[in-house]
Amino acid sequence: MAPLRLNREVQLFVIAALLCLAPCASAHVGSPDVFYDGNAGPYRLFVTVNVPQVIPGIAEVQIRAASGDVKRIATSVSRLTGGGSRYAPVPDVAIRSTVDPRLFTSSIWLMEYGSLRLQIKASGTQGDAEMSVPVASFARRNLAMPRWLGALLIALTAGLAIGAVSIVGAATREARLSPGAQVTEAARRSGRVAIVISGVLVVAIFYFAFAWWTFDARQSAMMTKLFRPPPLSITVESGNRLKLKAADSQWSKYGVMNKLLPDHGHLMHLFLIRTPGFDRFWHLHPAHAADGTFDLNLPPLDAGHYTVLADIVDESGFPWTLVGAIDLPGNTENGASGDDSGGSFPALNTTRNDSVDVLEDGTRVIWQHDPLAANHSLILHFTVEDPGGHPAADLEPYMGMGAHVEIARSDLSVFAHIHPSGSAPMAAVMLAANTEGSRGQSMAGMTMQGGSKMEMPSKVEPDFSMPYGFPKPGLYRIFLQFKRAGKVETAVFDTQVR
Amino acid sequence: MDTAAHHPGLVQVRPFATTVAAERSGSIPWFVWCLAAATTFDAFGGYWDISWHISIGRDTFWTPAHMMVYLAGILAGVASGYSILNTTFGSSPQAKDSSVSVWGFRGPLGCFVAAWGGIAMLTSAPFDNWWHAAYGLDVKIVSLPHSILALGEAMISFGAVVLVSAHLNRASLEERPKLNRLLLYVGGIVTFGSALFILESTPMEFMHSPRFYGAVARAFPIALIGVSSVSSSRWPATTMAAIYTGLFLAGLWIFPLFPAEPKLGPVYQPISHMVPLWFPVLLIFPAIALDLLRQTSALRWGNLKAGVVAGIVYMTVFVAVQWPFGDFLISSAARNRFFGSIYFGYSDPANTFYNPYEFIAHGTTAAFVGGMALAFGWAIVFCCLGMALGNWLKTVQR
Repeated sequence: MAPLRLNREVQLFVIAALLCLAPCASAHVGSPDVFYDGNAGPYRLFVTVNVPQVIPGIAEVQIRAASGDVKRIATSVSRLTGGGSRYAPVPDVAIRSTVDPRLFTSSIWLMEYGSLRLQIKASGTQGDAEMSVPVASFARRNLAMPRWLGALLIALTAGLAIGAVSIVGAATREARLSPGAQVTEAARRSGRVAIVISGVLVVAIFYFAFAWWTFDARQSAMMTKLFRPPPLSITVESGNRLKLKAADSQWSKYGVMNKLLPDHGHLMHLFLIRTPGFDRFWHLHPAHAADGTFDLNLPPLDAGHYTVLADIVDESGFPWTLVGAIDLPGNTENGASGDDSGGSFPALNTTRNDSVDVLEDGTRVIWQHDPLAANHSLILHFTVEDPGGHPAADLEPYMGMGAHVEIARSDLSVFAHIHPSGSAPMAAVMLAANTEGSRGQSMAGMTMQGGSKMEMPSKVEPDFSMPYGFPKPGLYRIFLQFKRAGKVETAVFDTQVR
Repeated sequence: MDTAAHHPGLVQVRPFATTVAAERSGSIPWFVWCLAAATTFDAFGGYWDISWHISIGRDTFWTPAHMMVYLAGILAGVASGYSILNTTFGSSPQAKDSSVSVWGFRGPLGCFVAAWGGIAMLTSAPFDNWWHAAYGLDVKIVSLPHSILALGEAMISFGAVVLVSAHLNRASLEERPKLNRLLLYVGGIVTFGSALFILESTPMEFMHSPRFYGAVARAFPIALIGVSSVSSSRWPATTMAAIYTGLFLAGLWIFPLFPAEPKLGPVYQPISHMVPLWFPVLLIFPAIALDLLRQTSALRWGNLKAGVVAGIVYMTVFVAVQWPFGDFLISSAARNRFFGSIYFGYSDPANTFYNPYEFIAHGTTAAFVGGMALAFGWAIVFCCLGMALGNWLKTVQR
């Protein structure tokens, strides 16, 4: 029972969400948990945040230190930007595992929707350091009442109702009698009338209470729905020009698509995946138009049914993925440019469990992994070798990073676009790293130089590690994209997750 | 011969020859004190819990504020339960003679009401727990589960009022002052509790809006007028309003002396001490007006006309004093520890998302006038209900 000016706050929050935070989609698709690999000063930490189903709710945090020199970790939550980002609550000390002293666990309350920040303070043999991890906070479901609780409530409230009516009857019948006086027939009649009237009132109160409950349940469902992505409206113009916009009147009204943050160089990362085989895949970067729409010229691709996924980041740092579908005619003109990449690949194979992909030019990409299980924090580790079997020495940064990975479940109920730092969008990570107290923070593959600017080392090592956790079992395709000798390569791996 | 016929004076002064022995000796039964204490713990625990949530945020089942509320429920349940069982199965004819019957059990009416309140409080607990899981940790006072809890607490208080009223109505002249003081104390705590329930509608920026006045129109009159009708004091409503005012001022000035830090984020305000609730509303003035009205012989206190007049007087005086006081609270002159316009909970985005020193917009003139008219209507309705309650409380004997 905290903020007292809540009605006004709820109104303001909803307006702010529409204006500034934007109706926040699930981070990626079906993959809401946060996986992060970064450095708090000298300490490398792998962070997993299992976000709750409802907001406010408790998120479970696991932090694994890469080395044994971390002795203490404390966590707290604030907003990523704006009001609420300046102050922090008293941090909670994470519990250090007695079995694995590098593992720390903590439970944090996510009290609000939107872009939040998990602040981590690490203390160890090399002193104290801080790190911030962006956390996208939104509700995903409404909980039904268990049968036993419903039965208990019905029993208790029925008892209370009968009790109330009975007490009213007794009050009418006897309460005004002098001590020792007998109840008259007139008093009994009055008591019965009072019971009937109070019974009607009790029924009315129950009706009102259920109406109130229904209203609150609808409000909760509305907030959950508000934080689902609007559909992506896609049209093809002039043969090979794709035009995209969010099909939502509130978005248009508040100009949401005109208030986006560039995420590793682009306002939108668009993925075209031909279904059901996933045999055509493109990672494209549409241009932003003044009216809030995005458009691009299609690369050469074969006709077919394509699922279109658009990753964007709003100005608060909240990521969301708009999803649409379209039947595209074949296109032979090459509209791809700049950082666009993709091509043709073998169809999704239910029997394969890949660990090596050999590309057209002989490049070998090796994915070292044990059998995968859902809901486990993992490190996806890839190695790139040249055709001679040696570690590739000519890798270059691709959009500021060593590699990008897109993970898609066969039914596209899960789609995640991740990087060496993890699943949080780079724009949000930059916002988190730019806050006071986070100096010395760096992400995997990048370091903070002096002030707040992240700089990418010029040399890219041929080993990529990315933290992730598959949210549910099934068949997945992993697209690994990196740049070698001026050309963007895409390796694919199919895998079953238990 | 019939004692009453030969000693009419005795009948008038002490009409109930079988008055409970405790009343002859001038002592108030222990379970009456328990219900009064339960009412006190409920209200104090509620104030403390709200302050806790806006200062620290994180709480557990075992926080001191929660313990006070549990204690209230336990006290009410044990005291009422003992009284009922003792009356039902005990051997005291006097106790049975002064009891009502519900489902075969006998006991003072106030104890049945308070026991009902305790069970309602218990019912709200698992419901509130599930509500948090389903809809998130509710961050408001007035939710359905909290309302069931508040109803339970209100019934414990009402049970205490009924119990004390019944004793007062049976008491001798010598015993009445003590019972009257207890009655006004309980009435004051009830008023304090009502103020907590409408807290979300009474911050300073609402003091020029119908929402504020509608809330005060509904929250206070029933207790003020109902209890006043039973009391033998000349200034019962004033006394109850003074108790509420004094307690809120005490909280305003004392709570910030204790250190506290937020343990939940995001944090919008720097908090280093417990955040108190707001400056009390100026209930004391309409309460004085009600007492003056009650004293006048021009109005027969307790009938419908008196209820209508009381409602109009109550709201008119309230608006007349609170409206300009709202201007003062918004101004820089009130931004100090005495008046408390500087305090905001840690999660209150005051001065970030909104300006707390501005009255909220009340829409069109027609909406404002309509809202205020409705507030006056509520005041009349609830004053009439208070009159009806008072008329009944004056006659309660068991």
